[in-house]
Amino acid sequence: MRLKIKNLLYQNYLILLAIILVGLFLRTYQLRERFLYSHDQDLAGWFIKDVVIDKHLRLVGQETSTQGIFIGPFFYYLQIPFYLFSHMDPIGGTYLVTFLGILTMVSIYFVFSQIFDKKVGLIGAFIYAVSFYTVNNDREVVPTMPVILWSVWFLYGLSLLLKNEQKKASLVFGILMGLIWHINFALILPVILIPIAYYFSRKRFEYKNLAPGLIALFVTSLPLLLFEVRHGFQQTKAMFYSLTTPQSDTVFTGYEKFQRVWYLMSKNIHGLFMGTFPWLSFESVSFIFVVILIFLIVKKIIDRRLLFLVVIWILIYIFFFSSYSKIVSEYYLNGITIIWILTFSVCIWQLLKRSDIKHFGVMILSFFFVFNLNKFFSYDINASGYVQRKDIVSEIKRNSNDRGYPCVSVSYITDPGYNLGYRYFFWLLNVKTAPIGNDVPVYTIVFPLKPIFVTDVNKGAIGLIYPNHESYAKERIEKGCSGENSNLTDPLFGFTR
Amino acid sequence: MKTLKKLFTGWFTHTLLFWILALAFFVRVYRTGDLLQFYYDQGRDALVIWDLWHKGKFFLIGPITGLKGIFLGPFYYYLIAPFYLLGGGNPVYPAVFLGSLGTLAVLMLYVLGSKMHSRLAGIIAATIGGFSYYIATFNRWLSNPNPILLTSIIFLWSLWEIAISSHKSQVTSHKFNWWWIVAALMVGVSLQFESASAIFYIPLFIIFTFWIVLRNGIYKWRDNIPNTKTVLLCVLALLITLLPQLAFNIKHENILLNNFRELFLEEKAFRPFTKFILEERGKYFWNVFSSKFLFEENIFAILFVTIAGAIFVSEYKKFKKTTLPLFLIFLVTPMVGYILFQGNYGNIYDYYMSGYFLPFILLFSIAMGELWNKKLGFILVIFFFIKFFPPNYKALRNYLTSSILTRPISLEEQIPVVNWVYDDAEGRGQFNVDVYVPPVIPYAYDYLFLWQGYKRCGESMCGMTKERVPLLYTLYEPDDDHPERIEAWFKRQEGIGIVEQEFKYGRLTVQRRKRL
Repeated sequence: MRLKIKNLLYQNYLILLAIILVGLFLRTYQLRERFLYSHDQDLAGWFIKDVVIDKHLRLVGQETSTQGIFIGPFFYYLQIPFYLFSHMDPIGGTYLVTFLGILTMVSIYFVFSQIFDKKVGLIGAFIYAVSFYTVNNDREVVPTMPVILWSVWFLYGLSLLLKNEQKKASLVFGILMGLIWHINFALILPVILIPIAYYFSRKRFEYKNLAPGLIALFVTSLPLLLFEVRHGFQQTKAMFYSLTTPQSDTVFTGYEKFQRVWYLMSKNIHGLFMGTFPWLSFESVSFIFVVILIFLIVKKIIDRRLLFLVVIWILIYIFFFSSYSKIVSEYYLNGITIIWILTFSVCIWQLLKRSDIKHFGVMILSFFFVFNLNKFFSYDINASGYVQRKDIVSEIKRNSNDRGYPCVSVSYITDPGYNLGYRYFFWLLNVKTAPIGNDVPVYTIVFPLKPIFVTDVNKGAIGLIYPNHESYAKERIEKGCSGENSNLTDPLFGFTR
Repeated sequence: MKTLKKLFTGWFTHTLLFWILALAFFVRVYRTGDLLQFYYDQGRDALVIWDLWHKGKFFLIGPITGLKGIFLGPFYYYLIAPFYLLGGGNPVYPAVFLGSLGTLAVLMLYVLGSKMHSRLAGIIAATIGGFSYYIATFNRWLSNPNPILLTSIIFLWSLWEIAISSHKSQVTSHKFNWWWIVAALMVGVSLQFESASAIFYIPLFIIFTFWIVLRNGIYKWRDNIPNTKTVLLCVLALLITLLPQLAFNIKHENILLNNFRELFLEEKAFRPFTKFILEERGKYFWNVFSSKFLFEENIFAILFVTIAGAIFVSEYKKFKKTTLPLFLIFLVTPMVGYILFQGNYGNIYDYYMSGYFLPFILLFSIAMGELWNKKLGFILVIFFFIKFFPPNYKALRNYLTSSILTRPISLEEQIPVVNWVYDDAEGRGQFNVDVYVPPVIPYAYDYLFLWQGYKRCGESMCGMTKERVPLLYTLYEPDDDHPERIEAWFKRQEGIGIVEQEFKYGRLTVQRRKRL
């Protein structure tokens, strides 16, 4: 008997290892080619350079789309060892997100196994490892990437509360609440579930259990507190202002806004599970999930208290973003992704448990696997990411070195916003820049490529026009380059020194 | 449900099988006389066999393979030669014979499906194998790879019997030893039909042997080995099939082995794969196997192959002992082989995998047979056939009812133009024939003129001669791929003779010319 249990455990870990390997492959295959590098990643590079090279410890990360509010610095600090490992190359950021992706798989396995069953854990980890949506999420080097990881542990915290393990729950919630500022402010929404879960546990609250949570919260929020004290509670005011003042969404209001949120949520669920499966619309997939949730409630398959919390969790997100005045993006709703993974995993588990319908469970998982892999391999790789941007800057360096230019000027023929996301490479590759107009050769970066802009060199979807070398006199170039490196001194959008 | 499960027992299955085989035979031989595509390869083979029957010229090698300087064994020629003799040189006879072998392969599919899983699985396999447009037209192909469909399934059958016997600890049985010899013989015979495919039967047979010997544990390896006599007979069976090529090789200063050495060692035909090769081969394998269903949309191939895979995962315990390992060895070995094989300028064609078409269909059918017994599974199986039949029926109907306007050139117009020449030349004395046919070498017409001329007039060939005489007949096929070549041929003919009369039939044109 003991041997049998040992075998079972061994078998589960082997399957988990296989799942992790598949997940690792999907997250590292064409790592450079699929690394979407743009302004956010460029800013991260400047942050890390500021800390590592300029020895300037920072209390905040980049400014968010809500003016006056900055994301916390935790994610940026996490990247530092990986940047150091890659000799300050931003590819290091991808190592971190790959690691966090694997951590999420293991976390899902652990949390689902604790709440339900090891098989649910394996199914959940499998879904997270293979889904095209989560794979892409884990390839984005942005502070919001660990939202799903955060929400897995939040779910664990809720389950601890329901089991009346207040001390452990307090520690988990303390850490998680402190991390909200560092990851995504929308994660504040499910916090309301904590008192509800406590109420469901029907146990008296013991104040001594709060201590570990408060300490954890204090430690993780320390940068925020310090920043706020130093800057007259700037972010608190900005947050209050943003919640009480109409923001930028004038396109959708009222019911239309609700419809949009529902649509985006459906799109996320569809993206999470369907891959290239052609026959189900966004809305029908979310409808199926609602039906599954109702089924789970009626059949009492999940602890009703937990199910109730999960439903409220979804409703909070829908309600909040339906009434929030800002334009809603898909990733705002990532905080409920874990619920869809959970629902799906439990549903498949129910199928696998019954030998007469087990084959349907395996079939659905197989479809999920095949159609997501199909999407992964047939996906058109964006040809304006890390590889191309680095190549373009390298080409500027090579050409300017060949010509003996001590510095260069860079202009952009791009759509608004697409001129960002190059400057860290100029620093990394040690290319000195000067403002345009200093009589310094101007290299022009073109994106997207259009027939009217004749380029000299193309790297993927990005083009480069060389300067008219004959029109620059050597003495004037040297004079123009004699000033400071403008790449280091010019302001950088979203980055404060 | 129970009624459905009981459906495939006894007389119902056999009646159904009878009709499947009858229809499979029909689609393989109907209008062969009209639709047979008699081109370069067919003409070349027919000329060799003609020389066997009329000049007593025996041969030690068969057709050349796609690999430079590598020839197949002669078994294919000897296999079809009696049917040329029977038909008085008519290629329809061997073609119908090969169609019959294809039908026999369909029967074997049923037998093996029944043995491996159930009668239903056998019926499903026979239905797919019988009516897959691709498989049916492959069986109508008068060419050496055709019979490998049959030998592949016999080879698989023998491996299955060995595996089952070893699993049931019946290794001392007469049957167990006998199947080893059949397997070795099938490797050798298959190598004579389509070496590009059967070459991987050798490593798979070796891997299979290791698996059989070691399947009960490394220390029990003695339990599953065939007796010495069987091993010797296996080697002998394999050697017999290789003897003609070995004799040819010795007779011609080691030419075959030298060519092999050049390809595999000097040109490094087998190399470590790259990401590009892996992606290309992945697409190739998918196309090779999914095309056998001929679904109108690729999504259905993905869907049903995934369902089949899911069934094996779901019922892993049931299939893990014999079925899955056997098919894994059988189908994965050539895939690995073709990932590593990068000779022949990297070119691989669909028919290189012809020795694996039917085993793949069988594996799929076993999954469908298993699915049928599952809750609501029969709906999916029926849905499969709803998607399978219409495109295959349509394609087969179009093929079998095609006319000279809707299909490539075939015997239906080739024989009339040849006969027109003989009719027209009657009473005009000796004549020459010059043929333009892409890709240049007109073996097909060389044979058709030889056969028809001999049939009409015996050795005198009704006046057709190779010596230059004033009367010349020119025959040509259009060359859409290389219009410049046919233009050059026209120009040359203009300088040779004036066109006196022209006869067109379908896409073929024949002209009587008087030399200038």
